[in-house]
Amino acid sequence: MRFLMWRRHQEAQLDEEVQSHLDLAIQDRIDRGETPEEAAVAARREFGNVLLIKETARDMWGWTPIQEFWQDLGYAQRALRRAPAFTVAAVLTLALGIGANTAMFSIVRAVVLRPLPFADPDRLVAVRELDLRSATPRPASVSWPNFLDWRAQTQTLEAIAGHRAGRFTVTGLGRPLNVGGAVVSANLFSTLGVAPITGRSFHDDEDRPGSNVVVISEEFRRTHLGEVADPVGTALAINGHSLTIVGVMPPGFAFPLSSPSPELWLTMAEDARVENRSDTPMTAQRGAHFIQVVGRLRPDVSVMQAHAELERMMAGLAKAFPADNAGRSAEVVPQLDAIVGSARRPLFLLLASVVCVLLIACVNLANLMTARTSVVKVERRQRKSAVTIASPIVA
Amino acid sequence: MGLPRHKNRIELLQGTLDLLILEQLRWTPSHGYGISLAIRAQSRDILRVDAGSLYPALHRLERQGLVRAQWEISDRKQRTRVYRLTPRGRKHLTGERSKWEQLSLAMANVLNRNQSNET
Repeated sequence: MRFLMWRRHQEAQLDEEVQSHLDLAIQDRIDRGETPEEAAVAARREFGNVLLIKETARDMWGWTPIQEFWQDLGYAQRALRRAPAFTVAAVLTLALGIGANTAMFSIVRAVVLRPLPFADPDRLVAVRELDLRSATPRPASVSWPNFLDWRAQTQTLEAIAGHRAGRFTVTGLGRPLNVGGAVVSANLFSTLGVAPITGRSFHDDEDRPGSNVVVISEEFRRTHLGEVADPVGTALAINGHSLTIVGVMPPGFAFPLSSPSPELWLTMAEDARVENRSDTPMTAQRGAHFIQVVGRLRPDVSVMQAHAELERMMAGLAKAFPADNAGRSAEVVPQLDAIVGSARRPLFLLLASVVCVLLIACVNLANLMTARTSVVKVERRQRKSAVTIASPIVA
Repeated sequence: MGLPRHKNRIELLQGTLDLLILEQLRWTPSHGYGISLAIRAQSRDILRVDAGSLYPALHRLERQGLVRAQWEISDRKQRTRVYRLTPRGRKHLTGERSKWEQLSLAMANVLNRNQSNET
């Protein structure tokens, strides 16, 4: 903007200066005895091309790059129109390169760059057991008793919740449905910082066996309970048990990230259920490693500190329960890393490769253009030599 | 032959216009018209500085900080843009002048030697 104003000022100055030059020249001529009309014409003629001066000055001020850009654009347009086949090839080459890049970048952005859609996603961490018995420590699922001990002891995490994905059979809504869902600890939603849009979240004591509550997704409500005015309080037959809907999560909420997105959330009471009285429920087995754990760091705690604490706690648990916990440790990683995890590197690799594809497309295009210009040049040379050969005969 | 007088004009060497302009401003500030008149008069009408080269050159010199321009009212009550040499311009002029003198001396030497060979 300031540049534009400076330019306008500069142009006005030049105009005025040219006028002043002409005035002086005319005055001189009148002094020498010419009539004002003669003087004006002569002075202007002597002065030369006013436009040319302005153009040269404009060049110097550096406006022309922009104007030249427009001229180039016009030229390109004409050139492209003259060679439609070349244009199609060029456009296709570039379109493919750019399209691949856009698609790949969209994925990378959605997966790697966009934060998790939860409150303070930076403070969300994944807590995992580590199996130390293999050559390289392998992340593993957590057993419910271990999780409960962590939750009771932790000083670094302000909340810690468990979950496992699963599939559930829902009957009583017309045809039986098989839907994706999750069995979660009652505090999962509060840990993530997401509340249901209608109804309530789970109460803490609803992890205990015998409680029969379920939270559904907005998508599930819309698809299967469309005609029910208020689904909260409705009974749903899930895996043959009657559960009461207590809440509906907001649309788009999906945790754990599984495919298909979970539509039902049941409490741990589901896994505490046994078919026979003599069975030990999964939630009572310290050796049953079946849940994933998400934690929320205290504001002043780093991932490293939480990691150190979990390692320490797990060392204690390994000593206390060697049968189930020997050779096991624990680790804390940012939740985003845990989700994206191993996918990050291949994704960036793919992105890099499509960038290369675009570069190759550009190189190809440049080759094509070089080839074209040399062909045109040869043609022109041939035409020219034809003229040269022909001219003596004409002469 | 009756050739118009301007046919005798010599095309200015690249870069010499700046030198001529700066030299004109060495003693007294002047406007563009005055500079062109003075160059023409002092070269006995051989060098005529085209306005199309003069003004761009003046503006370039101004941007380089070798001259400074100011609108003034002439003694004939006309508004003119008067150029002055800046200290930097003065230094630049000294340098360019000695370069030019070396060049013209060298040219003269070369040309004169050829002449003496011919005779």
